[in-house]
Amino acid sequence: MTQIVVNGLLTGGVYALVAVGFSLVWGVMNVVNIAHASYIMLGAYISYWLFHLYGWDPFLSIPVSMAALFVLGYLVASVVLNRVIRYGLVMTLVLTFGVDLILQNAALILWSADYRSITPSYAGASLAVGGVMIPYVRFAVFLLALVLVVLFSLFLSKTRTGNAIQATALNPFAAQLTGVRIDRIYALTYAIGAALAAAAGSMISVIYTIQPQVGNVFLTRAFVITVLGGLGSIPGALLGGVLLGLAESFATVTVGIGWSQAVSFGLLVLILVVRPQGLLGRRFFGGVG
Amino acid sequence: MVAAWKRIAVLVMALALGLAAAAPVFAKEDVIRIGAAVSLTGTYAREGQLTRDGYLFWVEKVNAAGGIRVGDKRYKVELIVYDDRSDPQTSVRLTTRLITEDNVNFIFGPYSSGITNATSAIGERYRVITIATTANAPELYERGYRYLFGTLPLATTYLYPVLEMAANLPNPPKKVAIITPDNLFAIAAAEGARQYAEQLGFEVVYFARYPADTTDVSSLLAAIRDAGAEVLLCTGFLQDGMLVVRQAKELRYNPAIMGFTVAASIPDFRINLGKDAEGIMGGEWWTPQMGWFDDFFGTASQYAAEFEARFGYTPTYHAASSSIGGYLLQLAIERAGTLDTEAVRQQLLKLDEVTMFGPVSFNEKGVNVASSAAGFQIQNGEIVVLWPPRISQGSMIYPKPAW
Repeated sequence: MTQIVVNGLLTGGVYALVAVGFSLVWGVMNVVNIAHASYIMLGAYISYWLFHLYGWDPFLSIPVSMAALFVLGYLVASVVLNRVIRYGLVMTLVLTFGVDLILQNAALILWSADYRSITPSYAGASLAVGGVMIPYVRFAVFLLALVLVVLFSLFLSKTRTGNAIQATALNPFAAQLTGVRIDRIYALTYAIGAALAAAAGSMISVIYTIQPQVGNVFLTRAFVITVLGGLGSIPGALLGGVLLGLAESFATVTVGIGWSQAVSFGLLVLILVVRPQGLLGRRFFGGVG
Repeated sequence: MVAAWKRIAVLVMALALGLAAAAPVFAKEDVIRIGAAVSLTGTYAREGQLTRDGYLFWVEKVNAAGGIRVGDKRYKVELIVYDDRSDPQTSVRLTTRLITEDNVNFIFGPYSSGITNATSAIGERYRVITIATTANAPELYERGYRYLFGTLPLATTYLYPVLEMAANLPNPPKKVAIITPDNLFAIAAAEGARQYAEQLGFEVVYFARYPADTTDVSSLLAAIRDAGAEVLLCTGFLQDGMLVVRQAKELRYNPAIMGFTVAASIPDFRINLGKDAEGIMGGEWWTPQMGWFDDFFGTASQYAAEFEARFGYTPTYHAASSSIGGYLLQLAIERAGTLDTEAVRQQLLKLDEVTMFGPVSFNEKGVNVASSAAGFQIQNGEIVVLWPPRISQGSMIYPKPAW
């Protein structure tokens, strides 16, 4: 029983990190960022190659993959996304879908569809606490995900730039009137979203096998979590992620693993009916709720 | 004068036209045309190329030997290969083109059960025999098709050797858990293993189908451990296999036997998992180390050496099965003494051969029922074939070393 809770929590941590960047971009920019899947994938490949070619520990390569994807995200937002953002949700959806296709197929051409994995010496080791196994790697990933999420929410609430992002999310027009350059804020937000995806990708490369389509599985999770927790809400993403992890874990042992996705999507439908703005979302947040 | 020139010109043109028209008819009498729409790009590019090279190896070898003997004449083989881009619709279109425009006599199947499922319907409609060499989902052969023959044993038999080895231990384990991703081929292998396990007297304590995109099986494994399973069988692919091994280790769940289908025979599995792969077992359709033999290719290892000399890499079962598909067709044509589809079909049904790929004989459904997969165990980072006993290279480590 405790094992099931631990499994759910640990999985939930990864889910939360995957969802934070996605939720942020959706909440602030009103963009459903399909390319998030590719950013996860690229983060994972950066860690893979640094491990494979130079023997870098995957946890050490997280800053590198975050920085690289921050730059890529900034470029994508400022060069293409900002030009179409005023045409609404559908246009940006199509655009990010296109970016996603380009990146995934580029990865396919460059690195082939081969499954790859990082196996550091400590992979598979775990700590036994009263009969409950806590795998080191997953636990570290969980903690790191928590730290990143907390740091990021501090950044949003305590810094001037963070406040500008929140102001833009609440009302882009009013933010502009107070002197916020919203095109820059959009590019920055998008870049941070990509960097968070990259961090998640780097961690996924340690616990899962990667290939050019690896991000897609996590994208559907991110979507569910974002809606569960509330658009643009950072604590919401964390709560949604952990909730989804626990739901899947419990569904596996009670009704069977074949039903785990039915349970998570059932949860999604239930939230949409009972509390459409999400668990921790606010009605005005993101301008769509 | 001008009129005479005109007349000559017309004559020359007529002659040229006549020759052009006659040429294909002439060629048709001397060659056997075989068409193959296989995946050379896309998801299945790798397996598709292995399949194509297997076909090509047989074609070159049979042509070097003078061709196929049909009655008193010798026919060269012409292989027409198209790239289906790993897409069933494209494969169907290309197969139709092979039959209706290229007028092939026979079809060599594409890679994968899924695509073969689509293309074999075309062969069936036009009454052209399809030799499927890398498609073994049982559903394919349950449709009452007359012109489809599969060289691989059915996917359902994949884990038979592992179960047989377990049953033949002096102190056999009793409780078996079987897990499979939601995938046509994997489910077939898992269902086959479940039935066979019960037949052999095991108790199947856990059976689960999980979504193909599952990224976490820790709770599933915890449930399996609590059910007391001593044998864990998984029919998933490479990423499933690695996930199961890693998370079983994290949970310190040590089944006495761990068996996989496709995952364990892929070198990446052993390379990535290192010593965690030790003692893991699996089924394998063919390896060059298996001691099978026939008159045309020689032993399996001779085949592998010649193949490597030609293509620069060691052949896998995909290639070997494809080469054998060609050889079986050759035997059937030679025995029929004609290229007539019905006569060749009758001879294929009568085949009862031992080849370098293993024993082959087809039942009415076109399934190779003479053979099943061989069983192996990973020992010191290498694949050691252990089952069936007549091609065994070592002895089984039991139970599997603890993590």
